[in-house]
Amino acid sequence: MAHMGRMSDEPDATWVARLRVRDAGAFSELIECYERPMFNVAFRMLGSAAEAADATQEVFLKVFENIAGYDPKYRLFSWIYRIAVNESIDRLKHRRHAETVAMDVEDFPLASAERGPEQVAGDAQLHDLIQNALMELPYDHRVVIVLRHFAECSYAQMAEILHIPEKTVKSRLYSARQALHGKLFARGVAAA
Amino acid sequence: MIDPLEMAWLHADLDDDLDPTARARLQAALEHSPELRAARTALLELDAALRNAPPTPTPPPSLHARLMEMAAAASPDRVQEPGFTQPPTFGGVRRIGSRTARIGWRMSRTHHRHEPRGSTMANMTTNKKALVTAVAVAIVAVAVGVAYMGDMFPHGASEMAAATIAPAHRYEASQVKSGDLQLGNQDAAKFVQTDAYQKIINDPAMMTLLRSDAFRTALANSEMRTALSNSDALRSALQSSDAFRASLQNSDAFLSALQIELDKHGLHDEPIDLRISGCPNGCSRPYLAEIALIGKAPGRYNRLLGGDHRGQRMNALYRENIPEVEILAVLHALLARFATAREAGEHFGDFLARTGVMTSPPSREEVA
Repeated sequence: MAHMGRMSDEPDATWVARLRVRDAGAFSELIECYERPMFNVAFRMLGSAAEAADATQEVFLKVFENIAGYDPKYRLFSWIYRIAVNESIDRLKHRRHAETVAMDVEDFPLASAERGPEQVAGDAQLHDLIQNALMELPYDHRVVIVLRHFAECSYAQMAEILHIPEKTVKSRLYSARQALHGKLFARGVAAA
Repeated sequence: MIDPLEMAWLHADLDDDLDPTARARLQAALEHSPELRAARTALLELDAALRNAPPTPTPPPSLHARLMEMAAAASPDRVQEPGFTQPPTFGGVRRIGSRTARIGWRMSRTHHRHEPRGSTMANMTTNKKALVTAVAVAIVAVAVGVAYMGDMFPHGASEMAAATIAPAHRYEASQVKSGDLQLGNQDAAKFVQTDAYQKIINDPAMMTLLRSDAFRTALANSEMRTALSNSDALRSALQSSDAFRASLQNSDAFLSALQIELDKHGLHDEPIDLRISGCPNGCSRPYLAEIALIGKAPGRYNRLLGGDHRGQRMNALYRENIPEVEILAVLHALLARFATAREAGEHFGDFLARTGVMTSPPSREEVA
């Protein structure tokens, strides 16, 4: 994960101690470090940038509110990721209907000298195909795909985040990949 | 048909989580299996599709601004600048409505509460102030009334309290001590209260067995009773078998692959009695399992199938001396048939016996 190198600069215990005394600098560093990863996870789970932004804000709000009750037996990154995963799943469960997610136009960059309009439109279409296939997976399958392929977590990190054995992570990831491949194949993104 | 173990290796290889030995075996399998090569291609395509997916869009700038405001709000030592509005606090705020609404409510509410004099608060009309004051006075009056009434009624009825205590003296007596009771043999009473006893009396087959003359005769034999109760002997047998320990060390990988195989056939919740023994001595009683693997040589097993799920029928030899990598491949076809052709509530061992895949050894009565 991209933030792991930064985390190694400061042990969790020191960071948490600073957060607990409401050190504004510690909170700013936390946001700088985790804003993008949390938004990434929420976006892939929810399929909507606006809802992902709300979820990300809620995640940090919960971190700020509950840092006093943080259990040091877990690593900080796994605690925060778990909050993000649970927040995303809660929001999915509260949706009244199964929603087909289409990318908001403003979510993708406009055409530029490097990427013409056709390429940008192609990206948006490919994104829609992959994201919609992802949204059709059950929550437990979607979460392992997101953590492994979009958050680049290792098996051990996923097990720590989801509080399940590493063997279960592997088994679930294998099943999720097969299901996702089938859905992408049905959409013509992958070969048989 | 692809061996689930090899399929698991493919995924582990993709995630760079495969040890050199398994990687070498995977390479060998890939050279011989076109199906496995096709599966690997499909897996690599999926990985490439996900890698080439357009990146996640950048979070909206307003999100970062909101988060930084929250971070500033969390700090108690924020310096008040001219015109600075105290950001929201996060402790002890009740939750209302949806979460998004809660945040908005919380932000706006605290902004108003902490705004300096001369802005919004200064614009509040005198009537509103009077109304707020009246409501506050009413709340205080109600609170004082409730406290007064609550203090009067429970403690005012002192005669009721005396009436409750007085009769209690009538029943004062010396306590019965443990020495006053002489208990006999409690073994039977304790056994009746165990879970094991409940299971026995609720299992008709077990009750029939216990009432049978043959079983009583067997239990009458002191050597038989000693063998059943001497756990040290069993432990010693387990510890003395290298092959058994080796099979335990490999069982995690095998069980993981077996779980995938069961998931594939929709049998993840199906209870199947599987027993693995490193040697033919059968310390783990593999001869009663629905699926049994008994070590024949390093990396090779005899497979026995067809036992009863409750352990009341012996299984029989199905394949002899099969290598590890073929264990699940052989099982694949049987599980597929079981998933599609089983009867309601039928266990795997019973299915094999009913469909004639396995023929159980003759019972004692049949032999006689």
